[in-house]
Amino acid sequence: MLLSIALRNLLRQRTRSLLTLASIALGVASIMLANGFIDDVLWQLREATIRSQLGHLQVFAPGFLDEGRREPLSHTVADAQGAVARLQTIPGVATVARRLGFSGLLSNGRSDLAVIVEGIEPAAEAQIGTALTIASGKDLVTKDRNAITVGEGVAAALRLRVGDPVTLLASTKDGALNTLDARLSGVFRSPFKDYDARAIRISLADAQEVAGVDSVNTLVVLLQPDRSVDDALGAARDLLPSARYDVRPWTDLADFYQGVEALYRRQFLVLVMIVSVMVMLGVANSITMSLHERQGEFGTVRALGYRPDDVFAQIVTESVVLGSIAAAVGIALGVLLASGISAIGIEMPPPPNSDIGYTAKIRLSLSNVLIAAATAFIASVAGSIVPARRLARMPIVDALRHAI
Amino acid sequence: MQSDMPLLLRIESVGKTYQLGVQKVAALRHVNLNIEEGAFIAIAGPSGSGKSTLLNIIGLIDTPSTGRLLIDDCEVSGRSPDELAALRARTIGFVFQTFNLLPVLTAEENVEYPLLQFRELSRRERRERVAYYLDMVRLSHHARHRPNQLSGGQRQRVAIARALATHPRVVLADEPTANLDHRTGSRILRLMRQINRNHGTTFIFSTHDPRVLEIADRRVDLEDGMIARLGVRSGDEWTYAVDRAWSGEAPSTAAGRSRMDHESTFSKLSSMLGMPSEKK
Repeated sequence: MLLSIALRNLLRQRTRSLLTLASIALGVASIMLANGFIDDVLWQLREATIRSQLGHLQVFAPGFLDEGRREPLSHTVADAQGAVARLQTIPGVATVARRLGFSGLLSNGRSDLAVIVEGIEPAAEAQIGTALTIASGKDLVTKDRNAITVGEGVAAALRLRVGDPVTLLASTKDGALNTLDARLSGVFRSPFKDYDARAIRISLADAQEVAGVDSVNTLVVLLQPDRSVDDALGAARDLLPSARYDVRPWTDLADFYQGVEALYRRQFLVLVMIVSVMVMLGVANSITMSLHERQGEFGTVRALGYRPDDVFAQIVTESVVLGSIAAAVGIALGVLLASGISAIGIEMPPPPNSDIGYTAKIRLSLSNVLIAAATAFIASVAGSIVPARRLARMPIVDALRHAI
Repeated sequence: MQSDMPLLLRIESVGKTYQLGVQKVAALRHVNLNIEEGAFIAIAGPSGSGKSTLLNIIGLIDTPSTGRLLIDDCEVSGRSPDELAALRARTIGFVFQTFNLLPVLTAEENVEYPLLQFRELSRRERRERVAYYLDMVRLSHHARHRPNQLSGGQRQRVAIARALATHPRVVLADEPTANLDHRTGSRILRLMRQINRNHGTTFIFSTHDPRVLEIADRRVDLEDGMIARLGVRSGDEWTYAVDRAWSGEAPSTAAGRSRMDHESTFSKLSSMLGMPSEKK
């Protein structure tokens, strides 16, 4: 009967209930849209990060991440072929690519540029690097030798064009200088300007020859869509003993993504707090007005033998009902608006560290919807607590002075 | 000689003081009163005499500043709000001047509402009891009507059914006819009197209405927060006693022309005042 009475009381004051409901529902919808937008921006950044450089998991020799930048050739993955074979047994693994990375000097015969060299397996990388597009020329293929692709920034710095001869100068593992004469096969563009300004790619065989090693220092694992990174990480760590292998998820390696995510999430938290306060104040105002008019009613309820807690429960139940209906309406409104906005798309300028703009959408997920609904629901219930407590404890004779 | 009926309420030297700004206002002073089961009592007096305050204290919705109230010889002062609520639920029924029906509930739901607190009653038992009392106040055919679909008299009858449905020991009626037309008011009063006679339910009224005084068998006249006199009906006449606290004297029969036995009348008045009845 408590619920029934609550519903009837809300219907009794239709206009006020509708206005309060609308404000809560708008709060829900705005949280959903804001969170959905941020989720989409982060999802696009995540995909760009994974599918241009990092894959979902990477495997290194222990110590590579700490000392490998200084001596990359001294921290190679033991039994890389065996490790690849084991990683490929993990359910959901799409591909595993081997890489040999080190630094070098790229020359066009007139000037030099310090670069990061990535020796890659073109076939496997073609699957991983879907966010890495070829701006001119063509990408590396498996049979290519003495061919090189460079980032747009490198090409611009050295004024290179497709087909130009270049020379790569690098130190071997033993410290000797070695060179690779190659021809520019293509210019690539990734979502990250920093990467394009320093990265060049050659075949793994060429890289091993220049570096004087027959091993690799990174294994990159790409998962099939919607596979759990955590599950794959756990399985990989089970298969590859930590004494010989350091398995890392992409998030450990994506400092930029982590920074952006932390920034957006903090902004979202502030937004949620603002919306919560607005909903709370709106509900508290509406309930205070309503309760002021109904003091006589609650005085009667108390006179009939109901306890202060019963009155409190009755008032809060009305807020629970209102909050629940408003949350449902807000979800419906949010889904509707999200679908409309996503259908049109939001044209976004290139983010920092990128030259590529993109079209953002509103990405809705169950957690997004639940956060929005729960925030508004909790705020609406919280908004009723203070006025409910005040009225529940009001002396009965004072309450009864007001007519019903 | 004491009344045959058992004592239900004992009010001992009750006072009530309100703070109005820097001033203290005494609404009740040294009120002593005994009320037996089955009584039909009117508390009369001018506005501000303390009628409602006394009724509120008896109804456990207000607390005395001094003195004590005993129900069935159990003192109620010092009890928590929850304990008082439980006592109200099972002991006291209210009939308000403005009816105070919950507007979102139908007539039958209003009568059922206080019964929801009684866990021992099944839904069927509750419904049966509601039907019984709505029938008693002749509103069975309006059971599904909401208060705004009922006349003033019908609303007050629903309120009476609600007050009776919990089987209270005492029904407190605060100016129950004030918002009713003359004819409806008379009907309501006759109904309550009939219930009092047939079921032995105790009724205590706070009233200005002379019709209430016409049918009451006891009256308590308040003036300035004190009992000015107590009356016991004898046929069409009242026999009065002056309260000791008011007059500073021992109670004595006075004023009214009594056809009752003097000793019996004095005994009843002494009993109402909560005094020994040996003195003639």
